Amino acid sequence: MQKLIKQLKSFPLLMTAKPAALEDILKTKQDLKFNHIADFPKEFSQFLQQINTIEYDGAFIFGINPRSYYLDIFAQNDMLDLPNKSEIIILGYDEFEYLAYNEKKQLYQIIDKETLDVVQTYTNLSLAIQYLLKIEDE
Amino acid sequence: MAKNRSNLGINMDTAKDLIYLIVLDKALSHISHKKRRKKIKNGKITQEEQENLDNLLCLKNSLDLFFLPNNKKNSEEYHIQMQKIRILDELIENIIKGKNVDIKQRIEQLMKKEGLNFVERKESPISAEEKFLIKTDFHGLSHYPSDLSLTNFFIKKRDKKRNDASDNLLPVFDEQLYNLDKVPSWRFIKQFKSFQKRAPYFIKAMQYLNIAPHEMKRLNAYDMIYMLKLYQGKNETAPIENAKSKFIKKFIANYEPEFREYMHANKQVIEYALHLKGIQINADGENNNKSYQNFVNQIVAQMKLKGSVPPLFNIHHKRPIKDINNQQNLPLANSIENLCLIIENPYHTMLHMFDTNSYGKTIFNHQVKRVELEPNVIFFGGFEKRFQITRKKEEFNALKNENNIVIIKMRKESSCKNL
Repeated sequence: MQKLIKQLKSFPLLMTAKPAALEDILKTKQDLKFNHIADFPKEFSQFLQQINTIEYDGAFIFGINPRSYYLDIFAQNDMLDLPNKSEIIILGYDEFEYLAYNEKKQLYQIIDKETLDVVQTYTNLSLAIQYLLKIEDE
Repeated sequence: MAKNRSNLGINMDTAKDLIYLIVLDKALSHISHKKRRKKIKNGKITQEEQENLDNLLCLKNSLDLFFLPNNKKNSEEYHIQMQKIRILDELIENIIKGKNVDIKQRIEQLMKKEGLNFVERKESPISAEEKFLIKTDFHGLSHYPSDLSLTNFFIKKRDKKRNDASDNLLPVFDEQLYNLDKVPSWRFIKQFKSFQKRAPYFIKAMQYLNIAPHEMKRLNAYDMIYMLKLYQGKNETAPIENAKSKFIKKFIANYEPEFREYMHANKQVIEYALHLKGIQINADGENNNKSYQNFVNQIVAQMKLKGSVPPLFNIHHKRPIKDINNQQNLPLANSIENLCLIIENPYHTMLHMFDTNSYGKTIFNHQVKRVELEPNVIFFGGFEKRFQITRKKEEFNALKNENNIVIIKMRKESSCKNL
């Protein structure tokens, strides 16, 4: 994960907000729970404490944004009219696909926006983010 | 983009755009069906939220100032502006009162008043393989397709090769024996020029994996793209330029002055959009104008160099993939004709709010519809025409010659009735 964070921070024009405070992350987790939306994993919380929201080359990763619905993980998931919200939380998107975390299966999933077919799965957040941001396979 | 200044010395179009950004961002934030736990629990709002509401109220009371033209009291324009004020007024009222039910409807009304068309969707079935090819053409070959999508036949061949130490053996089958037309998905793959040009790579990869010519028919599109990436990785060939980068490079090559002018004229809007994300571009205490200029320069440089989508923007497919209805020309989905650079929040979000969702459920009246931008719009930075860029005539003519019939067909189909 640290390797990816270092790589991301070196990207020109990587638009990211101030790292999220643990307190805000915990509050957001409570909001998600209260609204029956799946929780995000510890790995993603740790990521947000270093990189909070990403907007890069047409791909977007959510985080904690108290100012707007935009890229705010709670607001965006609440707005999206998707099934199995209590099991799956959306962590980001690009023009065609969602990056999701399936809490029940403990897997990161790449889901087609229109058909909701799972097109790729990962056990590791770094790989899932690399996929969404189109960072080349090594 | 001509300058339009009022007696107040404020660029009124920019002011209106800023109002839209402020109000629509808040409206979209209130669209969700549920409320945050803390609000329900305490029944109170924070000081910051109270300030936001006060600001909205202030804005509500000054809409006339920004929206009504001074000297056209009886004109049609006056009445249209009055209708926009009424909708915005109701929208703000709903936000302040926390009434979420009508917000989507108000947004739809506003979009219609601003000249956006809502058209019927004409979806056609599209196979997962076709869609995968369109996505790969758009994003490029950054990742190998998932094993979930590969054929078992291909996985066995690949894994056998992986475990085979004799990596450098000469191919068993002669190149001449391979005919790509025997691969069922080749008829789709070859439609994309960038893939078609690399036909020899597919064959070399098949030779490398010991896939016999008579076995080619067992391969699917995912296997084929896997092989292309494998070949490219092994031979370090030049990467395939994706449709997204091509579009951005072409856009900035043709419209750099217009794009710069937009970014300059809308400095306040862009800065507010960044503020909504918690980003300040002059955080180090630099001169604001200088920092902003550097920010724009950096964006333009990345667009030219890498074809990167600028921050705060996204690329919109004017016609969704399923609505293209042309199996004979899949690349049309990612053609310049079908792409538009657009501000992500609120405009791109709003455009997709009215799409049919994945279960076929729709938002209003159970109608299947989407928002359609004018075919020539290549940049959408706001409702006002001066914040949009339309394709230059000469460029359009060149495109027409390139794609000829397909574009004309698309144009005809896109002229659907308003709902």
